[in-house]
Amino acid sequence: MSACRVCVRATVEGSVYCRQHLQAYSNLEKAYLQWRYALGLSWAEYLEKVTKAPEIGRWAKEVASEILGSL
Amino acid sequence: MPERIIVVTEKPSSARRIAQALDDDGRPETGKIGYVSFHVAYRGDAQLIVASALGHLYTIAQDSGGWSYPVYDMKWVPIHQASRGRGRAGAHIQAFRLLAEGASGYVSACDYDIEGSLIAYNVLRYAVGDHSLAKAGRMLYSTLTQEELNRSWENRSKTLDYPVIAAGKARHETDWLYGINLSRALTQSVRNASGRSRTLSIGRVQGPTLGFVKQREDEINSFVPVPYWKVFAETEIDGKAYQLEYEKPRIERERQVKELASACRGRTGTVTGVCNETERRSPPPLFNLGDLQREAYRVHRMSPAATLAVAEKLYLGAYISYPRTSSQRLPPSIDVKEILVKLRANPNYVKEAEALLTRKRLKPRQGKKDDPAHPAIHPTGATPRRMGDPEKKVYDLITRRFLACLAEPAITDNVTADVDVNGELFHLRGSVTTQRGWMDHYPYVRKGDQLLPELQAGQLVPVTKFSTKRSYTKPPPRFNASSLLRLMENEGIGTKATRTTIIDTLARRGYTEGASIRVTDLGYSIVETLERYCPEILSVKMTRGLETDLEVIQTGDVEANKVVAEAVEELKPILAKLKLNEKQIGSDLSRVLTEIRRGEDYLGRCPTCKAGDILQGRNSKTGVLYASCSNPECRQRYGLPQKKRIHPTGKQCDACGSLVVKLYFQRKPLELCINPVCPSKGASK
Repeated sequence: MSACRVCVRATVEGSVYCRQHLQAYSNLEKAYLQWRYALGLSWAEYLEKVTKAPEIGRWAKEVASEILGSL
Repeated sequence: MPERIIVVTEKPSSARRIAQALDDDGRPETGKIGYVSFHVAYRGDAQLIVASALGHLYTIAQDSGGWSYPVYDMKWVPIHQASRGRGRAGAHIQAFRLLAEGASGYVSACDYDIEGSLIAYNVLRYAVGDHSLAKAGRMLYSTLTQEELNRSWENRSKTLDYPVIAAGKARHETDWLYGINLSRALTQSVRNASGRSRTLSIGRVQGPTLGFVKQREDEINSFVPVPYWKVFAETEIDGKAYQLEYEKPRIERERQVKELASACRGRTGTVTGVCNETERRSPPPLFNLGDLQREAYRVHRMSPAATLAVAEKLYLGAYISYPRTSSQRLPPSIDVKEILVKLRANPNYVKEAEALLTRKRLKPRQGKKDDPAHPAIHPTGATPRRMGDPEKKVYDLITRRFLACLAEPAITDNVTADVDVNGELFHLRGSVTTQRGWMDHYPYVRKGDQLLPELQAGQLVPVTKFSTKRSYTKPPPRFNASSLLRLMENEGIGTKATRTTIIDTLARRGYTEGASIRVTDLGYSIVETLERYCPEILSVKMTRGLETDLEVIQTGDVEANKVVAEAVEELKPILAKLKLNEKQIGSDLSRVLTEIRRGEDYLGRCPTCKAGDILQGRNSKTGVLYASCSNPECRQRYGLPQKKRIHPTGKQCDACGSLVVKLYFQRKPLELCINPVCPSKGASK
């Protein structure tokens, strides 16, 4: 088991994230479908916008920023 | 020689009231043993000695010695021998022993619930002796009014309510077994891993409750908002503006919003239909404890614990019925007319009471929930004297709810007009309350009228304003005391008497914080650790199952010993798992405790080496408080004011660059440089 890409917690098997950040990643993926329908954004555009959206959860923001950094 | 009967009550205030009610002249004598008061009432040929406990006088303790787990051997002991701060309990026990000498009978007059029944049973069994149980009866009442207490005395049972006592005993024993073992397991794991002596505790109901709060925090932290749009449109009829409501409350696509705007902006709509409906709103049912706590929180922002405490006080003053009830119903045996007649003497309710007394039929609105032991919370009719602000608020809620539940329904005429604007459907809505009914008696409802002019199909209405606004979905709100209480109720964990205490206990132990309840780092890591190594402790299903079993004991269908034995069997594998993973659990929790401690001691970055942190510490031999750099190569160290809590400010001193800290002198905050030889201090001298 290695460390989560975002924090020091151990990763969930088969994932690069810990349980908390994996849940946030899953939510980001699900929400993308709704964002794409609403605004017609690409994945990168979506991540850019969602990090600035009000009341985004701390972990979701961390995961979005981490993915943006690696794009 | 007159018959001498010992009447056991739960609290000193109820003892006085019961003695007054049962004495033929209403003037019982008062005596004292040490500082414990008791009352002597004369009723016919009988002499009644009415003496009170102080809540529970006995509790459970470990039978054998040692501080380890698992521990399954337990015994009931006087509470002052097991808990600090309960010294007076010993005097009450001694008083019961002395008063019981020569007694020919005993009556339990404690509150009619499992705690009350158990309090009296333990007093009789342990303070007086087993022989007293065969001669003991039970008074059952829901209000401390003279009439009901007299009725209750006359109809007292010839034996104690043993199924209820058994349920109370089983609940205490199960809670003790879970609490002591789980808490010791956590505490010992941390002690073995780090040598740190920090008591960590968790219980049968606390675990799942803390789990709810943590789960909500997880949902908030991983929440991803989604955009949507709202439409705001207005029309003007006879020079007055009315809101046009679009058929969809939310639009999920930006392109649709733009299309809608170009279709509707500046256009004129046509009324295509008008629908009139009469809505009949029945009065709300009377409060049970949970309802009262939620309403007091909604209306007055009173915490559930504060509401319960106030309700208890009102009950002991005989102003309301017993508050720890699940019932929303009033049985026909309660004379509502008599209560209304009494309420008429109270200037605050005279108008409402008189109006209701003119009605031919007085039938209270009954709720769905019932409680075999007590009716819904209702006023006794007695006019309270000298009430504080919280008491006034809670009493008014209860009394007005009682008045409302006897009143007529409220009737509202609702009008909805459909308006077609270029193929898009909007609504114009209006409502007028034509009969306020119970709403006149209960002013805590929010319902405003929205008047609409007369509308007809085919009428043209111009769209005078049209705008759209992008919004985002919101994360679920954090729990407050009221919503957490409701969730516990819905999930069937805890009892109506214990839920508020559990919510408070979690905060007191540092697992949760704030009125908008947030899980702390410590609370989070406890749940996380338990989820990893022993999720059963957080299981709602297991706790609920046990609650159901404990409830069933009261009906006499299940034996208490069997339920406790089953609880022990469920506990054994949990403790085995905790033992097996003790090292890991201890190491995980110790790490978090170290981080928390470090956070509490942190004052700022070291201004000298700029690599370490300045942390507060205490000399282990002298106890002197100081601050030093965490970097072992840096020798920076400061003396600190003793016996003061020092807080970081994140600021640097303008004169010397050292850290500025904050402390409180007589509650006034004072910011000063941590450096004792700072030039700014020299200048001020």
